[in-house]
Amino acid sequence: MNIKGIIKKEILEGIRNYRFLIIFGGLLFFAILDPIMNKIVMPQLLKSQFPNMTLEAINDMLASNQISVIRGYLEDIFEIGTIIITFTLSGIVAQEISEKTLILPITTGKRYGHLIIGKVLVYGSILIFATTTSAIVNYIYSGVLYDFELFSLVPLLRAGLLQGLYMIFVLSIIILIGSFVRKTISTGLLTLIIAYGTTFLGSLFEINNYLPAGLLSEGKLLAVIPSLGMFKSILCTISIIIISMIVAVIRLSNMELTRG
Amino acid sequence: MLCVIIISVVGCIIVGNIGYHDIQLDDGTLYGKFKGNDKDLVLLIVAGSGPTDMNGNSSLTQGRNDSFIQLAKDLSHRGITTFRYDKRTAGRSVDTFDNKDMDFDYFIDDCRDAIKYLKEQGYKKIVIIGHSQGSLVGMMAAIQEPVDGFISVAGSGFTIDTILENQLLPHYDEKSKEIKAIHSLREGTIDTSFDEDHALFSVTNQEFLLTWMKYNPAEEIKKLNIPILLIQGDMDTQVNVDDLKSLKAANSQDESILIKGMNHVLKKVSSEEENVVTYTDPSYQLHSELVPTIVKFINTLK
Repeated sequence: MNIKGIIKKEILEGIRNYRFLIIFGGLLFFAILDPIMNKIVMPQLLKSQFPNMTLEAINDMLASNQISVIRGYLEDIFEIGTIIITFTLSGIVAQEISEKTLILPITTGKRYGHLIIGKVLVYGSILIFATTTSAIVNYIYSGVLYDFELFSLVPLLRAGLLQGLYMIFVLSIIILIGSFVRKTISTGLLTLIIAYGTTFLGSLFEINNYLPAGLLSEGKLLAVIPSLGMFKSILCTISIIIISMIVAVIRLSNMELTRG
Repeated sequence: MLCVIIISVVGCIIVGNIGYHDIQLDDGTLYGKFKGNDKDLVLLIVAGSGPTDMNGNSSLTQGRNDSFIQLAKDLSHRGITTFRYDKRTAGRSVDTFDNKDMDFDYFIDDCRDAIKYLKEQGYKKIVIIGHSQGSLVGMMAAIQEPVDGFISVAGSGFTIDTILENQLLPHYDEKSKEIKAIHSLREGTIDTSFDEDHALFSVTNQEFLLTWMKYNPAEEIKKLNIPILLIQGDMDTQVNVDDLKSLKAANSQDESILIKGMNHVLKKVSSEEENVVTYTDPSYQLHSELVPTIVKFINTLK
């Protein structure tokens, strides 16, 4: 079985387990729902809760233009989308180890390195595609409901791609932790602790430029011109992804796969 | 794995240093960057007051406005090369200077040395574009080191004591300590009763203001015998149309442009709320009339 075979196997498995569908559905849900919530649902909800509040005061409490709606959506993807993606993908290594299905490709002569690369390529592509597509959908939807205020699609595509890369970082952590703990739920929880923890620490010590969290903060700015910090963050994230993959391969190579 | 870590560290160092030019001075180093490919004419961007870096961002505010980097990029797309530098009080330059005793003349000297550096680099024509306080700094530097043109963007037309008095009077009583401090400065004396952490009238800042208020932009601009363009936005709440009029009155043949809807950080705004937001939001583009106005002026110099 060559790398093409592994990619094919991962694609089929992603379809069979509805993982692709859940990722796309989850992100698109926020992309479509956020503008509607801000424009229609939330004002009515606030009006019913605070009947004496003026419409102006209600509007002040909510996102009032396309840019703030998009920023709200990007924030939601980090806060809630990360949970969806983490628990959707938390089994891609842990479950295979615990169900001993990982041994099948190995016995057909496959290398662990190829297995991991195959998973990252397939799910990474899906994540990049899903975050970028959802960002575009959110842009169009918020533009229709408000106004097309963002000067071009470029900052939005950048934000989508940066979020996609961040999600690949999450994926690499899932693979790394999955190769150690072998339990799906534990893998998911530990991954979330790392994802949220690094973001919190990055903000606290102002080192986001050297962490994957910098991708999210730069993307959310929707800046006309990206900062140099973004490139540092991209470099560091890619390095972390590669290191996580290498450690996972080393771990799997030293693991007794038939052990329960 | 070690390889990946080394590549990552080296990569970050390279990214952090890419494109920087350093101007060595006696008391520190000014770091700057070129943008554009024209080797004949260069536009030197001089930043305004406070710790404003070469991109137009201040360390005093949370967030970027990216006004100068946007300006540099837009101009380079139109074939105009720019050079912008971190002031001695901002960005990368700040750590190389001992900024304990600030003197306004240091900024002028720095700008003059930047002009000399550009001449050493082989540029045949140099035009200064000074923003806010940078307008006066650029003006003074151009008097000392000849250049081929001068653009003042949101440049003040009055001495700093007058500007401060006008800004404070709506909020402070005529007999308040703050207004009295301005009167004292005009007489050349420093009011030592303010705490050292007072934002405006700490003794250190008063000493700096004394070195600044000796220059009257409306008088100094008369000494420039080069083409001048004055640009002002009508949504600017820091420098206003009166400043433009004052500079224009000093030299009636100077070209002056009032851009509708442009604020102090060169963005298009339509409300006071939006005006405030643009200082820390890099998603706003420059006002669409700004760059064409500058390009038109530059083309007359070529």
